[in-house]
Amino acid sequence: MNFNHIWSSAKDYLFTLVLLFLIVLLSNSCEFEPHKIYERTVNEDVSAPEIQVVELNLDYDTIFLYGSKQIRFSFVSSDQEILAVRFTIDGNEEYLIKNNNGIFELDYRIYTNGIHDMVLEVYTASGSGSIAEHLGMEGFLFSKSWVLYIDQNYSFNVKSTISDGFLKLYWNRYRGYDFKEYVVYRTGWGTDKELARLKSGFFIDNTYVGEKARYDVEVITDNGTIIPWGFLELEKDLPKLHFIISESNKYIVKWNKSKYYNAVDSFRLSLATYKGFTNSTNKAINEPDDTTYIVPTSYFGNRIDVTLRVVPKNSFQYMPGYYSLFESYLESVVVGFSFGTRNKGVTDISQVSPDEFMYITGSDSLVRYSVTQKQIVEKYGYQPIGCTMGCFTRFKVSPSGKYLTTYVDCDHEVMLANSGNLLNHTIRDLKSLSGFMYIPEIPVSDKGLVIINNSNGGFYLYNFNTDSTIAYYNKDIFTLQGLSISMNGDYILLLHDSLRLVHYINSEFINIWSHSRFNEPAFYEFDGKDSGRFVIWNGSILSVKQCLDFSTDYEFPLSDEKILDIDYYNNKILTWSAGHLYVRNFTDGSLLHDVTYTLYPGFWYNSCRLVGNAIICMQGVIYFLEEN
Amino acid sequence: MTKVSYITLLFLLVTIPCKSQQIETGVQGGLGNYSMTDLKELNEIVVRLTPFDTKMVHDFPAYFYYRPFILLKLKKISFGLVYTFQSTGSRISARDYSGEYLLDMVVNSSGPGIYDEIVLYGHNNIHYSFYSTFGALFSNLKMKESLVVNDESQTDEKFKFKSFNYYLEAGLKISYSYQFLDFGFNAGFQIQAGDGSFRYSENEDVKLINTENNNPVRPEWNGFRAGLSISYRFPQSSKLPLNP
Repeated sequence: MNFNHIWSSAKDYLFTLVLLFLIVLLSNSCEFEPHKIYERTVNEDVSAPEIQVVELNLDYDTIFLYGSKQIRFSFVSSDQEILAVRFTIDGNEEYLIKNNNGIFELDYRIYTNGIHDMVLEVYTASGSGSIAEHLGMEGFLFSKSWVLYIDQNYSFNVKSTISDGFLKLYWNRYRGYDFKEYVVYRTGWGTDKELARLKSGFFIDNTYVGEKARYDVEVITDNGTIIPWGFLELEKDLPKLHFIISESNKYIVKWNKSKYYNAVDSFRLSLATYKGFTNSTNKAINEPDDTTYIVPTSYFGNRIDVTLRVVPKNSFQYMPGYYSLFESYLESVVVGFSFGTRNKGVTDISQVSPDEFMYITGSDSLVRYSVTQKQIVEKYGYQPIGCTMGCFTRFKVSPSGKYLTTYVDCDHEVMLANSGNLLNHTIRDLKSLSGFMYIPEIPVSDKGLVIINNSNGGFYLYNFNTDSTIAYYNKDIFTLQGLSISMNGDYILLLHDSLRLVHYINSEFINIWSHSRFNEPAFYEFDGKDSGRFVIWNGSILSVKQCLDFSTDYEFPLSDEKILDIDYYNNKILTWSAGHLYVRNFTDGSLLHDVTYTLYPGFWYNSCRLVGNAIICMQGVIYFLEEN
Repeated sequence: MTKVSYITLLFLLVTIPCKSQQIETGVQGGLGNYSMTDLKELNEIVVRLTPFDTKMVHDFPAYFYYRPFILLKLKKISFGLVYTFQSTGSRISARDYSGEYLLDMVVNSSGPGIYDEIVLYGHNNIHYSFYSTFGALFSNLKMKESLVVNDESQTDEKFKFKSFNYYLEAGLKISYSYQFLDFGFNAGFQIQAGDGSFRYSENEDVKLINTENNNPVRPEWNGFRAGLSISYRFPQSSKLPLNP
């Protein structure tokens, strides 16, 4: 093989390779390519079908929707098949069914109040058989729209007013075209009574007098559907009771005229004491215009409950079991002119001047009250720190009332105060004299001398102003208690082996008078105006004695059951006997006033005091006496 | 380099002709039919599930294949390299005034292989031969689905899948030699070997599945092949190779 032959073969060879490469490239480009098309046979010119309504319960172009509504529909097509039915509200699809019939539950609660646009769309096939038709993208559309008026608040539409003395109910009109009538019911409290069927939007109830009640209104549609149209719950609207007190001891229960006066027949008023345990008075008031009742003065001091029942002329609900619906109340009223602080108890009433008395209220306030001014003239409050006990305890005034003693604070220090100016007071710790766990009353004179009973017996005569012990009265085998001290501080009434009146003079206790301690007189105390006098009552004779020699100044018979108080400033005495308070002349016992008082004053909480022309009772009320 | 590339290079080196040999190179082209059973089933499902009526206007018909080759001729035997490119496809079609639906599948394969040919009988420049070839099959499936309704495209999707298998083809060939050219006609049958199914080109973990039986879908190139060929021999010699 020569070089030319080799070169020629190589050229052919390379040419062949290049040629093969080109052939490979060309062959890869000769790929199968689909090119045929299937032309479907369709009918492009199809006329629209006729849609016939088999059922559609929407008769009017405006739908007033007050509740959920079922829209029942059924359609048939003259030719092409009905593919779907759709409801839209305000453009939003709310219901779609791929059928020619169905029920659309129209829930009114999901829409806002007001007007909405509801559209019904019926889709049919086009009938062309095209691709678009098969894919639901071609067809005939039939639509109809309604105005949808939604009112979700109709339930609160029922309102009331008063018309010519009767209750008048009224409500918004049901605007649906299927309206037949309204039905008004009285419901609740054992009653479920149909009152009326009517077409008007109001109803006057001649049975209602202001009692607690509920009314329900329903709408009846032409096809008998019942739509709860609203209700109204009425709280009691009965006459309100007021208690009016005059200074002339007139106690009047008053009430305003009933708003529903034409439905009222009469009133029944009852007074009950002791929270209904005792029915004291029941009174029928047959004249509706009469709106007052005068409480007898015999109720003075009593705590009463007043009940006013309105009797309707015509009511099916006025039955004993439901009387409370017709009643208004005034509860826990104390009959009398009130002087106390509301909701705070009154204790320790004591006369401190011709016109004033003092009391403790709420355990934390000393109050001085003027009878003639009928108001509090001074109040002194004291709040103990560190304990919850009552502040003022063991309150005691001097015979004239000018000074007072009381324990204050948690560690029982003793306060001496001028009752005419409570800020003028002194507080001292006297436990070194009385004993640490002993807190007896501290009798006080107008001179600042006090008696401090000791826990071991005996008592100290102590000058509060100078903070000095003046004397000590020792006990022997009998217990000893200093009971009171005269205005000037020179006479002391004590209980020892006997009830004694002693004279402290020249640093000695000299016995003036003694009486068996086991048969104490019915009443005894130092005169509040004359320091040298002593008053004693044995139950039948009241005697005014001279302390110096126990001689009788004067005396008179007094056979009442109890002496409650003596007003030395005004020379009067307050007694009680057989349901009456008697105000007598302190000089001769003659009767000045007779006040019915049904409570027993022997209990501290019913007891009374006399200050000038006023009887002051612990219930916090005053009875004003007429000037003689 | 791949194994195939090494084999090709080795062949090219050994086929550098020597004195008693000739190189024959040419191209064969013909018609093949392809069974494509799995893909046809897939099309049937599509036709069945489409809500409107469609027609399979192409259903993997017989289509041309192309086969360039280079052979080393040694008296009665020739052998060498071939590359076969074959393709077919399908179309599901529907069209009317409202729109058009198309689902096209075009599947092709590139098949490098080894070719051998034995002359069984020869007389007056006409030779009767037996041939066989085997090699790799790199199949590609291109799917395109489109739906246009009322001039609006609703669907326009394209997917590509790949598959790898082997093939074996055998048949008879009759050829006529004229100077340094050979003209031939061949007829044979190709069998696909291997069960390589189509995998998504962008994620080979994703297989093309027949949704009705959950079987993976494979190409199936089985079928008859018939073709014409023309080849060129070199170096030319005054004497033809010895043929029976």
